[in-house]
Amino acid sequence: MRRAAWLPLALAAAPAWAHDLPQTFGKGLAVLPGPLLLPLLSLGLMLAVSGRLRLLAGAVPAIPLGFVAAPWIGINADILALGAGLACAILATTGLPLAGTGHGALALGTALLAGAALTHGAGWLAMELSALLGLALAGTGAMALPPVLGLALLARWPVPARIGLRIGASWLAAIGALALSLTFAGPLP
Amino acid sequence: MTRMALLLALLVAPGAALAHAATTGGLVSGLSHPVLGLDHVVAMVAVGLWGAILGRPALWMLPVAFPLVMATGGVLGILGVPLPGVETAIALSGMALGLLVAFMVRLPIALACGIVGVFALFHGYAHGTELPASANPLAFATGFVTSTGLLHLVGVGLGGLVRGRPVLRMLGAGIALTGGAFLAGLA
Repeated sequence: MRRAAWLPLALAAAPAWAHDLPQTFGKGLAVLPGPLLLPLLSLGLMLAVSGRLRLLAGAVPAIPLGFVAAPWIGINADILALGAGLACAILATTGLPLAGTGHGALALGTALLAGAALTHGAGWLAMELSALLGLALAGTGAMALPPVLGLALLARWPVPARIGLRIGASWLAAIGALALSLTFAGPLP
Repeated sequence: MTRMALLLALLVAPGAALAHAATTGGLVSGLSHPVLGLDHVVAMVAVGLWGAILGRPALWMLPVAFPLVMATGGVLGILGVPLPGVETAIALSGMALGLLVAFMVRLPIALACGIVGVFALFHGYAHGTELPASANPLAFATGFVTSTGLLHLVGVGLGGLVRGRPVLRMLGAGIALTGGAFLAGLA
């Protein structure tokens, strides 16, 4: 019963955010917030380092799915997305293998949470369809950038590129951890 | 040569005084923060140099371990968890890492990462305490992490470019002396 009381509260939070949300395709494409670039870039790097690029195909539709799931995830979607992104960045840095479908589940979860966070937990109803398209495209671009760059570099300089990707992942992990703690401490919205 | 050295000293000197002043900026402030603090610069370059001396996998593991642990220190700083002796530990890091380079000390990779990690915690804490006060904390964090990483790569690059052990030893000794000067309160 108490759990049910949270649902309207989470949904009610949406209209308060609505005026901050982009409402055109151009704005949707351009206003990808800095804190949400981190999980998407980290996810892309994890896929590039682990060599599981086919998982990108599953992560792309997870972003619009996140728009739909946003009201159920609520306004803490950004914290959850940052946490999932941090896990991706640490995996990319260490190169640790995950059992079974671990990488796939993490990739889908991160993309879904990032999608939800892109609407600030307000969900797809609070935004114009064109803006949602812009956001989805920007998110997909951010997610695909590290694998595309990584593949090109790995093909030409396999060893230095692998080291470079892992060093880049460690920087993303460091920035992600700081962004997460800044969100908890208050300075980041 | 003397003119170059004088110019370098003039460029670096104001930074030492400004390095830990209140920060109000974003990305540019974050990028310049480690570079303008000589105590930070020598320690970061020393990490890269030591990695180059130890060879693979330390060559990339030290520059990877440092930002990860530095972020942990940053988190402690942001959350206001008290950590004593931060400035002393930062000065000590320059001296200790400089000596490790000067004497070309070869340690097991786990121990090397541990030593670098301990110092990284204090460097991160120093940055972290200034983060919440900055105008754009995320941009500031991005800047100082990137700048720190680039300084490591400068160290790795120097280690790869410099031919001959005496030059590397001299670089290490210079770093140790700089760290010692900060430790003694002379810089």
